[in-house]
Amino acid sequence: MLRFLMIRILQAIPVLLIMSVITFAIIQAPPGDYGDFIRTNMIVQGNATTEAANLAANAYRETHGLNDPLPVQYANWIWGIVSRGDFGQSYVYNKPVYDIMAQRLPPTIAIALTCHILASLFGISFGILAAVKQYSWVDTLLSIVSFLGMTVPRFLMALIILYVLAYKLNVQEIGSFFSSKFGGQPWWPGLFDFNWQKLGNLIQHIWPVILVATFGGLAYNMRVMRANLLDTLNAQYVETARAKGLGEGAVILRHAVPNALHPLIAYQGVVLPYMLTGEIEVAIVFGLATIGPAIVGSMNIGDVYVTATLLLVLGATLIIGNIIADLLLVALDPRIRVGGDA
Amino acid sequence: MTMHIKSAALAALMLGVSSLAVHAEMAAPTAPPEAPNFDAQGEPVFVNRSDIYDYMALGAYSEPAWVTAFVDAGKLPPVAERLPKEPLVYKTANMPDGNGVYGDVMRHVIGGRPEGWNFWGGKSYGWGGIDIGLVECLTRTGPLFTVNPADLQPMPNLAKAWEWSEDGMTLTVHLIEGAKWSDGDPFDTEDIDFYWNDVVMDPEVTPLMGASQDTYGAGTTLAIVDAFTFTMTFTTAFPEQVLYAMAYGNFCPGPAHMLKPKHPKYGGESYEAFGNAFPSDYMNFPTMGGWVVAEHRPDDIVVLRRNPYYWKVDESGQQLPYLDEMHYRLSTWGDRDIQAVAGTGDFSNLEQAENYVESLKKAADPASPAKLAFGPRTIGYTLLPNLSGNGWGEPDERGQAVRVLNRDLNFRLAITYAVDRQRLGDSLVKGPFTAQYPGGLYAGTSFYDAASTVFYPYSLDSAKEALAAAGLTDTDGNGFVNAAGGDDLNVTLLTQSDYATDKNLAEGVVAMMGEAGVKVTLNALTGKDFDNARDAGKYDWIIVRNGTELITMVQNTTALAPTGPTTDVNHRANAAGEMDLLPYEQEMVATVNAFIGERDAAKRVELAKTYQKLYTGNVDGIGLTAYPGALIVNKRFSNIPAGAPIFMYNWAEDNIIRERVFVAADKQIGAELHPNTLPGAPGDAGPMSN
Repeated sequence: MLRFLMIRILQAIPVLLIMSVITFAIIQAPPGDYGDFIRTNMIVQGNATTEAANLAANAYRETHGLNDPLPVQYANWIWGIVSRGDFGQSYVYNKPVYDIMAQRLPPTIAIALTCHILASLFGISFGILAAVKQYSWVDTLLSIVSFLGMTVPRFLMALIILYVLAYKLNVQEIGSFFSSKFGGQPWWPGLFDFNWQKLGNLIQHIWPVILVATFGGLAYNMRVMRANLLDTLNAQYVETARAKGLGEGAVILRHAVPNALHPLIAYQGVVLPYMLTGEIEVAIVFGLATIGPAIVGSMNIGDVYVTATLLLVLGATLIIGNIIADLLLVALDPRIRVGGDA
Repeated sequence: MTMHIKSAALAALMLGVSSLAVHAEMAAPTAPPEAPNFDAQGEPVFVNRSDIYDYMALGAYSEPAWVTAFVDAGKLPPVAERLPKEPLVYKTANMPDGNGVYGDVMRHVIGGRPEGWNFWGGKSYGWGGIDIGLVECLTRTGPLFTVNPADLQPMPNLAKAWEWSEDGMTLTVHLIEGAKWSDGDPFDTEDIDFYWNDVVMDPEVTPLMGASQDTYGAGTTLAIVDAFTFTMTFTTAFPEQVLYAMAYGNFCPGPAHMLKPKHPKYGGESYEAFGNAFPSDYMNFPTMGGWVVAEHRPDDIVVLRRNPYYWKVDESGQQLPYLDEMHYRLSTWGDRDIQAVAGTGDFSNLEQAENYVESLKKAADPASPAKLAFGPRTIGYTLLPNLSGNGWGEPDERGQAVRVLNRDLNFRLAITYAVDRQRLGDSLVKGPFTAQYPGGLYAGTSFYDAASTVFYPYSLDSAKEALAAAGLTDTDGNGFVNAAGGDDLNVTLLTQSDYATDKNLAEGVVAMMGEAGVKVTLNALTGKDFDNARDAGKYDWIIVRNGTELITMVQNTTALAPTGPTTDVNHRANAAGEMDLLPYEQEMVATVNAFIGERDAAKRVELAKTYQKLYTGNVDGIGLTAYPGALIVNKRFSNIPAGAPIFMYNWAEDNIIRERVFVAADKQIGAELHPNTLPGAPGDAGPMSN
């Protein structure tokens, strides 16, 4: 297993490197750079003359290496990462990209994991319910839910919910993690004193994001669970359990469900990047300070090291997710080995 | 209505337009149509500058009771000792709601992010008026929208007074005496000296708005006279523009006692380290503004607390500001309008005309927390033909042929006749908002003169006549005029695709030009790509939102004409530095230069009239539409001046004079995040409690 893991990690390194080259080249491909953003802001916001703004933008380019050839910029960036864990400097925040990542990645992963857990819980439960009540109105209703979850784009769902909340229901707790009052409060004001009000305020703000991102994941879990469980319910050992006189509930929960869960467990690793991208799409619409809006925002203004690093991190989660999925499959099925070793 | 040659010639004579501008069969130019009035549009109360504030000592001063508690605890000197000998005193008679009461907060929402607090090292505070609340400058221009044109000059601020030498080559500036930074350090010419010699004159330092020696005139020097006096010596006589250059965001000195030790000249590590010396997590950086940054939660909020050393008071002696706290929610620019209308934000500049009707409907609801106040119609768009026939932007054969046409008055007349400005305005927003804008200076601004404005009314027939006069006819009968080679004339129109207004206008122009027989292809680019294409001259025509020079004429004045190789948007020098000005452009340049050097107010007005005639008569740019911006302010605030534009001489955050804005006690919402605290010592983690 350890050898398997090491091989997969070693395989990931060139993949990440190639990905970083392509990403860096693509985000630098459009004309313009952060100097243009400075110039525009100075003219539009600061009412500076075009000449003064151009001079300032050029000075910034010179001092920040924006005039360096692309390969030099890439080499500086990647060498910084490899040699000292330095992901470069965010121009707009004027602080290390690592700080931006450290600030935004944890809530991104926390929301994605929360959505993932909820999607699994509700998806599996609904799948069981739909399978047990096959062809009933419950099954039909849940099938519709599943159909909508699989087909309606999450950003569209997010836009609709945002519109209803902001314009129809006048809900004000959107667009941030906390109200101003709670954002600066500590989670633990005292040793045994948890700030429940802050948690409540957080939930008030992020439930739409979790709802939309969960909805998409839930649908997949439900469909897989329903199909697997229907197969399992027709298996001989289930018939045997029934013949032994076990109650239907015990038959389903103790015998059928655990066996129907196997494909879903293998799916858990792959779903991590899926849930991350789901969170990202929705967070962009709601403007939450997570990875997604940072990628889009930095791309717009040419804050290249932020864009490149965050995309690299997303790529890494995809690779890690795949490795986790492979490991789970190996754990579940010993016939699976690397490169034909089986 | 179309008139014919006799009346056209008469009108042209009256307006002083070149006879070239009037041709047989073309509609005669008229006076520009009057723009409709509407209830939500406020009118400023015009006063003289000294009616707004003055500098004087008062018998007694006061402060919020909770600030006095800091004094009682020995943490702060008494208010009279914190104020200058003669503080800046706001006149009660000029306050729309009179002297105010202390407390409450103004909640802004912005899309920018603070890079750090070293404005002088080029760090942005995140825009949206944070810097206006923190940084004070020698002069002030925001409130000028309410100043009588006869008294129009920058308002004193940190510079309490100034006088010119007899020959006009030297300006002596007197600073306010005894004012202090928010940490108690005296404000004096040490700060001026550092700003001039170690920021402006140091080629390694680029302050935020890029101020350099040239900002104050080539060859200008500065000499310190005493602790509160300095002189500036110029290479030309009476360069009055320098007084405007001393306002936001140029001559706004920083705290030398903080900045100097970080500057390489005085032992600082490096220029890069100087720029980054006060990062965005550095709290309580000293300011001369009404508030001080006390908390910054990245991507969440910036909180400012009142500056206990602020050097402005009301006539009853109450130290300003009235508002104890300022919030800047770090969100997106789009979110700003939404939150202001919804009531979770307090302030926004609404400038996308497409949103006006919906926002007005919401504001009309008595339960709405915000009100919309429209100012003068100073948001305007112009179609500019590229007038550089000298190869700027390296046009291909087709592009060069279009530029030759652009330089032909008949062709420009064809464009302006083909634009139905009423329809164009209605395509943005129906109702009384938009005005038919002929181009040049805006109606309702200080230097505008209707009688000097030439308006070519919409007339397709005239457009076609003008095209024929320019040698363009439809030879293949497909509805579009043909270029010299026989192909359809095809003009590219560069526009900004980030904003719906720009796109809507551009699409309208394309359609209208098609009706006149000119095939136009849209080239819509996003922000920086648009800017690059514009500045590189890569276009035939371009639609731009006008700059401040056409609003005030006294700011960015050189941009009014091709006075230099890169000052004009649509006519610049080629790679060899050569200009190819048309005769009327040479007149415009002469007029603008004369305006810059003229001190006599009456003569400046006459020069402005000449400029307007030259611009509109020769169709230097094709005005499209002009409309007002709307200031969205929460209803609980008092002392918001009537008719405050979202932008005129400066942004609305400066125009409304926030330090004298207040919230009546019964309307305060208790949203202060750090009540009863004052800024801590520079570098402390946050505000200090008593």
